[in-house]
Amino acid sequence: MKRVNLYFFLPLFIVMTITGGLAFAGGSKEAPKAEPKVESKPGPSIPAQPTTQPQPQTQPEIQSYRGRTLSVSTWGFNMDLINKNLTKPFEEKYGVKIVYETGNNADRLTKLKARKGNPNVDVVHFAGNYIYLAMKEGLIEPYDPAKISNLKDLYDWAKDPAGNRYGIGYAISTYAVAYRTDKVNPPITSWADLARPDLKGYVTLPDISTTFGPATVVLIAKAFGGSEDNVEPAWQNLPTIAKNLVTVYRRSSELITLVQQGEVWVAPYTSFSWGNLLETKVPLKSIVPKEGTVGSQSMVALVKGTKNADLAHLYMDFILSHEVQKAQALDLVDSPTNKTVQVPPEIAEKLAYGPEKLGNIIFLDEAKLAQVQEAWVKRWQQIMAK
Amino acid sequence: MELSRRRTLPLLLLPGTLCVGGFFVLPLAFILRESFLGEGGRMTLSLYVQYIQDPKFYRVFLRTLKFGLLVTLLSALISYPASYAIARTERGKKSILMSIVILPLMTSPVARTYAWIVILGRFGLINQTARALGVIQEPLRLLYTEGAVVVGLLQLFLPLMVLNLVSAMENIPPEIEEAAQSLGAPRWVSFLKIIVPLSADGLVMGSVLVFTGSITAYVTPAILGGTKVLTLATLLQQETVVFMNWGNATVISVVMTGMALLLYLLLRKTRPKIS
Amino acid sequence: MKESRFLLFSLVFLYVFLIGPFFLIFLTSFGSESIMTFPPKGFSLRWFAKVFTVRMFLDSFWISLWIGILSTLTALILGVPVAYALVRHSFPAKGVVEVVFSSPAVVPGIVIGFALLRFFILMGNFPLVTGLFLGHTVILLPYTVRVVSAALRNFDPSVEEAAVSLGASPFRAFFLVVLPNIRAGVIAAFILAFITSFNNVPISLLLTGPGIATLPIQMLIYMEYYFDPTIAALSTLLILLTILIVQGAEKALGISQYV
Repeated sequence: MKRVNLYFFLPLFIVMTITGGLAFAGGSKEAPKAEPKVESKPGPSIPAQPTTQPQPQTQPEIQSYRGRTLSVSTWGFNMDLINKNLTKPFEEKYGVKIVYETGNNADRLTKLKARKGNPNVDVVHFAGNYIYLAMKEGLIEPYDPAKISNLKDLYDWAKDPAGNRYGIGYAISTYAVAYRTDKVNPPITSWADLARPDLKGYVTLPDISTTFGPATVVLIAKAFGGSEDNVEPAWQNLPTIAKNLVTVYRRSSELITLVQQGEVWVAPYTSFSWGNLLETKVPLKSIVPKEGTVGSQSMVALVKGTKNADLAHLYMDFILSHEVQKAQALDLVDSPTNKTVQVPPEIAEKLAYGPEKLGNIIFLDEAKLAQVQEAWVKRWQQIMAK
Repeated sequence: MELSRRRTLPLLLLPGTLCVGGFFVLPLAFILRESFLGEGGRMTLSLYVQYIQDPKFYRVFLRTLKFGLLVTLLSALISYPASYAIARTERGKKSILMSIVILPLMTSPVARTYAWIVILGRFGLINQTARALGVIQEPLRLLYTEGAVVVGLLQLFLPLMVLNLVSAMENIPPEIEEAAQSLGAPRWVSFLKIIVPLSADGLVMGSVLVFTGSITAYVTPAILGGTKVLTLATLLQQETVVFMNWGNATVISVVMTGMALLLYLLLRKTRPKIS
Repeated sequence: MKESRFLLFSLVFLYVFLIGPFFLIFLTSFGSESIMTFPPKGFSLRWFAKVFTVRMFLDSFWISLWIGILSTLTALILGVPVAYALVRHSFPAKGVVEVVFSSPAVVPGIVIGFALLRFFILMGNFPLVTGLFLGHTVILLPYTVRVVSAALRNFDPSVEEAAVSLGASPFRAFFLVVLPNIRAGVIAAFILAFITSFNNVPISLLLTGPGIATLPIQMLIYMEYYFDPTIAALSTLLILLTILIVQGAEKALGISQYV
């Protein structure tokens, strides 16, 4: 047996110490991110609306939050910006630590189901139809409007979209189609174009489990003569479109890479990823197909059985506040549902924002979609598996 | 002395046994029992019968076995000459060579697999080189293919084969070969006739380890195969996290555990001295 | 001489295949583009800086570190007596004990993780961290038992017997005579077990929840959402750390004999 020569470990210990030290330093003084670029030129402000802080909390109440942890289940997209605009300000204000569980709608719904009755998350972010599914499974509970002081500033359609106060719309997103202007000719005008033979191998669709998955089926049905109530044409034509697909994407981050790497020329996308798509510097044009623009709200809801209902309400209120909504809008993370938020025109055109755009959005009957969800998922997977 | 030894034996074994029993055997036994549990608490094989007929499971199962065999075969072919070369180098150099061989085993599996994304990706080494040389116009899809998974598994498990072959070959005295060569046998003949049979034990050990490792690996198929090239391990993850189908997940668990344990026990039986 | 050239070629091929990919990670981690490309364009250290500012990496690094240290220590405390019993005692069901203590390394990690999730976390309401600690401890036991056993086999039992015959209790003899002499083996066991825990994915994969994920799992999650070279930078750091540990441990302890 060789004798241990401890000197051999000296460099190792040094490296570990340095790594540890750096980690500590990094943790304590997380480099202050650049301020939102456009903050300096505010849009026309509304003088009348008092949009400042909610009522100052009484001291003992704040004390009771300090040191606690709130778990939030959300998508993992744009986490660094969300961290800057939402997480850190919330943590600093209340002394509460936020931990996240990330994943797409379907995966997170599964996790909630597995934990039913003994949840390990307090607040959940879902797309509209998943709020209904979660409701049906008894996984979420109604919020208390008295504890959400910012509710009054929301558009009416955002206050209680699912009914019975099960969720609040904190962001609105629209579903549009973008295409490569240098590759696609003639331009895309309808969802039916996705079946065009000249686009073979360069089309993508969001998976059925994503926010606009069911809407995709409805829109394709419309393009081929169907409607929201008659989606049979979609099932008939999806196999043709499926042959054109390079892949199906499950996360917006996937779509962005596909576009950036030139694998996709025609991309149905969700408005909150437009900023990231523009950053790819690929020549893209966004159009409103003749089937129209479908919109959906991102909602927050209280998880049934949470032991941190008070913190959860604080968080839900905070995410609706003027400050957070504006910061998220300026960074193109989310389009606001707080009507006091004003953004400059060059931002507004990239968001689902303003009376003209909001007025033309088609809202599908998400309660009904939730009912057929399971059957649609099965049919979709059968088609895509081929 | 003997008496006190007998008294200390339970003390030595008890804490460890409780830990393995409580936190390993017990949960696994629970899974096994659940896999046979039908409606109303009766014992039944219905979960197995149902799932094994599912073409998805069937395909994934066969693919996993294929990966295992392919990786074992390739790693044996690559390792044999290289291990021989290592075994015949002098001590000092051998130590350096060996410490490099075990590096992939010690490296974070995510880091190790990420390297293959750099190589096989759309804008990775292979595609960029081939495009620069004018071999291809459009980048090829190399990631999320069966080939990508096999290559990744090969890098991961080659070291196990090399380690076993080297330690088997070290025990073959070089004099035997020298004798054969002095009798006029070419070196490749003496390699095939002497080295290969005498290192068969190492080959068997290495093969079983590589095969078991390949059919149970998770990270490599997850990153390089994605949801397109599923193996049993990634299918188990999918059934659990995405579909929450406990029944199917328990069946996969039992199948995987059964194969791994069976191979291990066979190895013990045939070669009771596992060094 | 043709044969020896063939041998050299096979050796070079093996090593290029085994460690060549690591060099590519080093290269890409210095690229300045925000998407991983090869060859990397420009030169920048910002991805290394980013590793230390991404909050989820820092949190999970500490979780991995603590789980690693605690489970390794526990596995050593439980494993050393077992190794001692296996090497120094002869008893009837020895083969069974051997099998039981090696099986956690044989059974697929993801199955163990799944069983712990179902049995302890979902049914038993154990906290996730406890599940992680238990799972890691169980899979490290085979390593500590095997490595310490190997060290014990190399240590002449007569020295210990002499100490006992001179009046030391077996307990004292173990701590004063045996342990100092198998020190190298124990340290090798610690290093191997810690690395195994720190790198583990299959066990930790399903034992993940809000705010709780080990570093490798967090890297997988990050890779789902981001494609920048941060992962390459973090991988570079981890690989360099591993090389240091493995080289040091190989020189000092000859760790490759225990793998």
